[in-house]
Amino acid sequence: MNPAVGIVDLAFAAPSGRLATADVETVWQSGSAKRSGVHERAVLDPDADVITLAAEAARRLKLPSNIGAIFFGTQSSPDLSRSAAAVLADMLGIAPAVFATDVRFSGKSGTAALAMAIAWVRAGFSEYALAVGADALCLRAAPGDPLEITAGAGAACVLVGNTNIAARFEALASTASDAADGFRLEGDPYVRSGGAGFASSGIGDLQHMVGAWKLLLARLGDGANFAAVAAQQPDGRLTGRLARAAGIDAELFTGGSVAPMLGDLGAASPLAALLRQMEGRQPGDRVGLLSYGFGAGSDALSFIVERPIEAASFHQAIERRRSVDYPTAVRWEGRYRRHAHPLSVFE
Amino acid sequence: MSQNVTARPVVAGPARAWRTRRNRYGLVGSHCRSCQSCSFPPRRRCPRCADAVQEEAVFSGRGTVICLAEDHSPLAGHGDRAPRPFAMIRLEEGPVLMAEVVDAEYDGLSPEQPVEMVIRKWRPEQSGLALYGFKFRVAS
Repeated sequence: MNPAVGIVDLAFAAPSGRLATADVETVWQSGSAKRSGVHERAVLDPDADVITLAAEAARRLKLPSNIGAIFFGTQSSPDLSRSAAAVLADMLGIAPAVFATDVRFSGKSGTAALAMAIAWVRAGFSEYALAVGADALCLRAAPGDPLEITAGAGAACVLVGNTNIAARFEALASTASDAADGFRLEGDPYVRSGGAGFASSGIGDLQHMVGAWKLLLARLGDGANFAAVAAQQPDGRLTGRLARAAGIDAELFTGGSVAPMLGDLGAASPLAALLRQMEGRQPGDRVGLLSYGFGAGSDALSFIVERPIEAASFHQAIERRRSVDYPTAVRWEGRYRRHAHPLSVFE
Repeated sequence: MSQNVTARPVVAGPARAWRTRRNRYGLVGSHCRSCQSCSFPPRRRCPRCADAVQEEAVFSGRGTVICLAEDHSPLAGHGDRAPRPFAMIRLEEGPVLMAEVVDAEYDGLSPEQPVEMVIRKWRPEQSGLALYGFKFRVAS
């Protein structure tokens, strides 16, 4: 029998700026704000990125000194080659005796990092590992693109270990195939959509998520009942479509709602939803985690709750909000390229 | 009069960034075993009692605002920013430092307010490398 491994603690961070999606509509009038189910999205501060967000979330955890690995899941790292995980390791004071690597698979980068951390600890490489899911998709959304309405920013950090477990890992199933329903090419700052055909048919998201979920159910065997499911939320509607397509009770998603208040958090999205779903759970409850990354692939994981996790960091991130108008968001997120040193600057 | 539009900001290079990273990321200062005072940045000799035996101290990142000012003339690399509040902050352990206060407007801040450390970019990527370091925000 495999040794027990699971989630010891979870924390979340998001920028304080909030942009009403209706504000973006006043400029571009695409009509997609209402359809998205996102009321507000997080706006990244000009002095923040996925590394600072991850550091903020990780500092909310009680980190043991013997963390053996950091898996940093992101698709919006500020550096194309330098490891965000290594920078984070130094920020957390656990460098240099640590295995650090970045993990990238668009929106499911966070659950991919979590799966690796679980495998790392289960293999006995160290007692603890840190998995990060962090994204700043708002930097990767072109002006006027529907993604600009929903793309937010946030980070979730998961401490995985083999002692003091809050949610014991039970099973994992994944799907992946070449379905380019979204992509960002070298040199292009913006994510591009693969087109309406993918969105309307569900060939990307629904097909992979339902496939992973069914595989997970098959691995768990008959009679696997879930108390809650935390799912990827690129917008406020996917969980509803997913419930119908996978035959999951829509009520199981409601406690993990993230996108309507913060937008698409990319790699942080399913982990933030998991943190919400872990609050107030009873020991013995089974919680599902279902992610999606365009490109395309999905991870489905199940956990058995041993003790609930307080979602204080999530609630504080929601409460710590400042309204930001669209022109300010455009400036903060560097929406338009221009000379780096305006003449008005004191030098 | 012509203006020098090609001037580059004076940005700490990667080597200097590497040397200072622990102080910037973790508020690592020094503690004097002789008089028990703490210093930030770390000192080789205690500024209070001049004792040369100093040990490393990692500060909690919690403190209170002593006084505030608003920066209206940003340094290079911060030209896109609105005026930003800066504060003199007394850390729980005693040392006083100056830092930017984020996630807040100047008018919403006041002396004696408790603050906590966050890590943000001190310099953006205009030189090719972001420089991260401590800033503060109103405590949760």
